[in-house]
Amino acid sequence: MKIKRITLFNIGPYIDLNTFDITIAKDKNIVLIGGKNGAGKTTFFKAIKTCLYGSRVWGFDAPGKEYFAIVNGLVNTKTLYDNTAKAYIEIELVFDDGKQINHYVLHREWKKIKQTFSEYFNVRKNGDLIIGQEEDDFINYLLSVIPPDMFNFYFFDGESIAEFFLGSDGNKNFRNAFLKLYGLDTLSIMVENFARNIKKTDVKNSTYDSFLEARATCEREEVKYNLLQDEIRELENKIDLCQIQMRSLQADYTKNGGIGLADWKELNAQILKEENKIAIALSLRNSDHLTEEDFESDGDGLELNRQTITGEYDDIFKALIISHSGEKLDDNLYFPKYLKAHIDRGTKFLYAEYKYSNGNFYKHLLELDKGI
Amino acid sequence: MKYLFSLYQGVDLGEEQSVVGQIDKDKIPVTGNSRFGCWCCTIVKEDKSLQRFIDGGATELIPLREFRNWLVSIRQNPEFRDSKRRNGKVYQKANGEYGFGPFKMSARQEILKRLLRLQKDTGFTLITNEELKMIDTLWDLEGDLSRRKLVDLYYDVFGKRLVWDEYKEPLYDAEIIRTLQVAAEDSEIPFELITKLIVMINSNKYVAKSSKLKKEFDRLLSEEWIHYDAVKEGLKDED
Repeated sequence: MKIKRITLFNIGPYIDLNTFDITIAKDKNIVLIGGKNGAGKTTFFKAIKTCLYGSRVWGFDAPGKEYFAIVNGLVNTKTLYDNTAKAYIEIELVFDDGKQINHYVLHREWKKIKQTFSEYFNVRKNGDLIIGQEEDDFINYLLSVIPPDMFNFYFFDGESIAEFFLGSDGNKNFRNAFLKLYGLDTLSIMVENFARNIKKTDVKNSTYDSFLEARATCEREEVKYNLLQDEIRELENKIDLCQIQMRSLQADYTKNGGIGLADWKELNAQILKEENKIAIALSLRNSDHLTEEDFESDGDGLELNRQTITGEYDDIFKALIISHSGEKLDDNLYFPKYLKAHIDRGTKFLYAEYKYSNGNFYKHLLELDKGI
Repeated sequence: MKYLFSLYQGVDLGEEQSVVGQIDKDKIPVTGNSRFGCWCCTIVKEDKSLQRFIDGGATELIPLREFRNWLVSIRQNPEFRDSKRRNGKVYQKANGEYGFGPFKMSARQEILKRLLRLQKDTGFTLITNEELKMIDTLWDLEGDLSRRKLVDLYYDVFGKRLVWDEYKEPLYDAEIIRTLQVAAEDSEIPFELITKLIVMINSNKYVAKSSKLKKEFDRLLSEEWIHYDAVKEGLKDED
């Protein structure tokens, strides 16, 4: 980008139209501007800056009160009191990117009507006014070619250049200019925007994230559930198999003469009944009368079931016990007192008999059979 | 006119119907249904009319046919084609393959290199400087951070610089680009996304309305190709 022409109209000491042609040769590309104190060097410099960037270069997003205060200091005093007067700055720029050469004319104009400034700005490209998006694009392009921070490297006021580098903001100015010069501010902008985006999406996505998390948990648990279901089925099959085996073993057991618990209990009860009868028989076979000792018992005999012990033979047992006692016993004495005494005594005899058979149950039964 | 028709003469020339052949086949001694368009068109498998010229003695066209046939051969090759569209959309075919987007940057460079060589070897003007300017602008916008791929390629082939060569400054030094690339790979961020963001920020950072940059930034971050796997995951049971 090269500046070809600068026109000042009612700016500072430059009354009415003042045009400066600063076309340069390829081998002479530095322009020095000199003049006496108060001649308008600084104004000239400020005018270029303001024309190019408007309020932005003074640190304002849009033209406002503070910006117009600066404009107020920039324009010629005549403009301030003459409502019909205007002030403007016009710069002609030449862009040559090798692909094509374009001429741009930037025109920035101010009017002060009733103490209020208005700003007008337009850009002509190769003679034609550009408007809307195209103008925005051009401004954007201009800002990328010479960012305002960089401007101070290319156009500087000998009186204030020291302030730019060595003043209180010197380091900051230099750093910003350096970052912009190498395009590194792009990376800072990227970092800022990543932070902003993450902050924004964090809030937005937390519900969705917890949904995803919950769904993942669901999926995991479902897998576990299915595994457990498989295990259950396997175990159920084992149970079925065991039951079949058990039934077949039971059948074999019964077939080979085995008896069940219920049968065994019943038979045991039967044996007890028969043993009681045998015990009574053994006691009756001994003609000795029952002694006092025989009646000493740990119970009163009320636990005995007359039907179970004597059953259908009750009358015979009663007759034999009365006959053995040699006394007249009424029914209350016969049962349970005498019957129980005979069972207790007979049991002792039976136990003695059992011991006599050396614990051989079969032999014991044979002996009993012979004896009774 | 006679010359024009003579160009089409031949037996069974092509796959597409020629209007002339259909309407006037009795009156005009022209046969064949040949297609006769852009020399590098890859719509037909074999350019029979080009073949016909070569058969007719135009041997200088042989390298052109070879270039065209090479183009046909890489057209359906996933190595040369992007798996996403220019707008970041991704689509997957029923067989799981990704649908093709534009040619990859590397493929485009290869194609241009071969085309420029062909131009140099044959002497035909196959591509104009105006077209090269357009391509150069497009490559800058599509993430060539060096901004010099096209001009350097031209120099490699022709040994002389394009007019605008000296104005093409790299956006960043090769070292910075490499550092960025390594950092992106370490963080498992596609470098392509970073280059897209850089190009976008550069063209928007001086816009007074900062909302445009933010909007563009968020749009690039939410392009489908970046989230395709996550989107597929999200849609898994919503068929």
